[in-house]
Amino acid sequence: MQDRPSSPYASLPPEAYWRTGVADAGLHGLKALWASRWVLPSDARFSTFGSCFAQHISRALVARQIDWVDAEPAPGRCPPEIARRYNYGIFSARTANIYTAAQLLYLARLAVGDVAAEAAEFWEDGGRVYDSLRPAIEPAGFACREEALFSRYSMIRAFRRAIVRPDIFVFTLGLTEGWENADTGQPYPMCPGTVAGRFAAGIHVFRNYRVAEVARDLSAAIEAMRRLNPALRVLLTVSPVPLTATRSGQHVLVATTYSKSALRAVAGELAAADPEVDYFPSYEIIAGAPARAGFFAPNMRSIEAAGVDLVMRHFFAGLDLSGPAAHGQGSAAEDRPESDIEAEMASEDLACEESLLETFNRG
Amino acid sequence: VARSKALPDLLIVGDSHTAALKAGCDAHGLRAEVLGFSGNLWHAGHVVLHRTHGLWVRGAAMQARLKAVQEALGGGSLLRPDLPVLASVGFHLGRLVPPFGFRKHVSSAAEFEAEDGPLFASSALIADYAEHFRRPHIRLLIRMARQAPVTAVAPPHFYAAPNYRAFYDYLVRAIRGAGVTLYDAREDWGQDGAPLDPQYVAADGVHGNEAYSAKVVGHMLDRGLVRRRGD
Repeated sequence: MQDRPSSPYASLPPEAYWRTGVADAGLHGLKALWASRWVLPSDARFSTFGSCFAQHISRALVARQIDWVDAEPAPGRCPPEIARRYNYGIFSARTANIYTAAQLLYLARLAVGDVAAEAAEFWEDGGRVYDSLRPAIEPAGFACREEALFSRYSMIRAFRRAIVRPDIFVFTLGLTEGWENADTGQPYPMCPGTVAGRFAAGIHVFRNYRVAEVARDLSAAIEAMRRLNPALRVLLTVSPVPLTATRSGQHVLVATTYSKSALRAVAGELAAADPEVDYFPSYEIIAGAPARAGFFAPNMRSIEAAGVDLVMRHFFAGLDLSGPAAHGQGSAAEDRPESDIEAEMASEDLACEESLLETFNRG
Repeated sequence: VARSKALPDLLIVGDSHTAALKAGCDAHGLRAEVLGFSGNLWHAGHVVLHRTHGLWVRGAAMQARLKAVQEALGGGSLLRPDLPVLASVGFHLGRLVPPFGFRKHVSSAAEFEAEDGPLFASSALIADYAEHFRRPHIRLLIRMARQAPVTAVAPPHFYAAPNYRAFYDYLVRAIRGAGVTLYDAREDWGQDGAPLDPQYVAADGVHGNEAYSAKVVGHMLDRGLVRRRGD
């Protein structure tokens, strides 16, 4: 009997086959979905940005006491509800959601100084001023243009740090649809007039970025960021959260499929072309067939906590932090320790108590 | 009526700046009783309104101090319509501003630009932060003012750091906005936000000296915010 020619499929692991990798394994038996292509230092630092789903990665990193770069933290002792209202602690800087590659590119250009901070619009509305790059960053806008501008400077300063400090820049791609200024090319995080600003037909133009455009913008953004940190590694994910609405003229389900497919394709392309770019499959875990859409909330859009947990379990299972520590403890060495300020306040209290004694003097 | 005759001209309540207010009253021949607790206690909410005593404080030693003042006033509530109150309450900036700056948040453009480290904080954020920590104190002042003629007295403004000015300005607006009369020496003397002239600073660097106290109370007399009993 003649031997069958060996097949390249013959030696593949179980996860290479749908039956053993998915159907038999079941949702919670999925294994080896992702393995980081890098051996990272045990004290690896991560920055996180992107669409809403990226927030879950920030939170999970913090919960696991992994070094998440918080380049624009809330003030000391800030009550959590105030920090949340002012969008602190959500992404590594107060960029707010970055939905599109075009937005990321614009921010990267601001960070490296290719675009002046003053170039992006400010919107006045009801006596308050809004930053067109992040119109909802403060609950009621800013008191004046100067204040809004300095807050933007602060965000750019922090965004730059969030590029320089980390080993891994995690970016969650959210949408292909966005709005731009027809004259300046400035991308908006949302259509003017939605949260603030006033929509002007002809000036504010809808864009549904093509695959090649997303790839071009994302590559250019990474290139710009590597001017600040040549060793920067980028981990891409695609948000599984569907579009709230589409301006494309298509049914929102069809538009969502285009959007996510395009982003997924670009992430794969960049990861294939650049060894310092990787793709983590959060999209597949939530939106793939094994989950049977079970992680979507009743609105079929929001992701339930169990889904986020599963995503993060795969994330940490695939992360390789076995390299030697690279950072030591000097990250905040330039900061004056809080304990010094505490001691100063305590000594002032002591002085105050002393001065009160004199009030007992009835002489 | 008998009790009123024995009453001093004023009751001074509040933090460590009460000592300077007392010295100022002495300098102008005003009789004042003082109930002072560390700003730390006020900051921590350990001084509260009390139905019987007017005010109450946590801790036996502090309570003894409060009762001694009560006794000196002839008993009854510390807060009464016939006893004007000067209140050095609601600022306690030494417990509020340094923590805000733990992570280098600054409120001024110049400070932000001077170095690479600072982060810029909006006026709305400062207002919400200060409001969170000082809302109980402003409520206390409002309630005190319902029971006695209360004038809040802003503390001397020592610090060049703009964050102090931002918090100070907010609290002046907030206390006045709550309907409580407030005397602000910095505004009255036309300091325009500048730190207190060194000639008025006590040796410890964080209180007004005798000259300051006398000038503050003198101005308050001129403006009818305090008066001698019977005048």
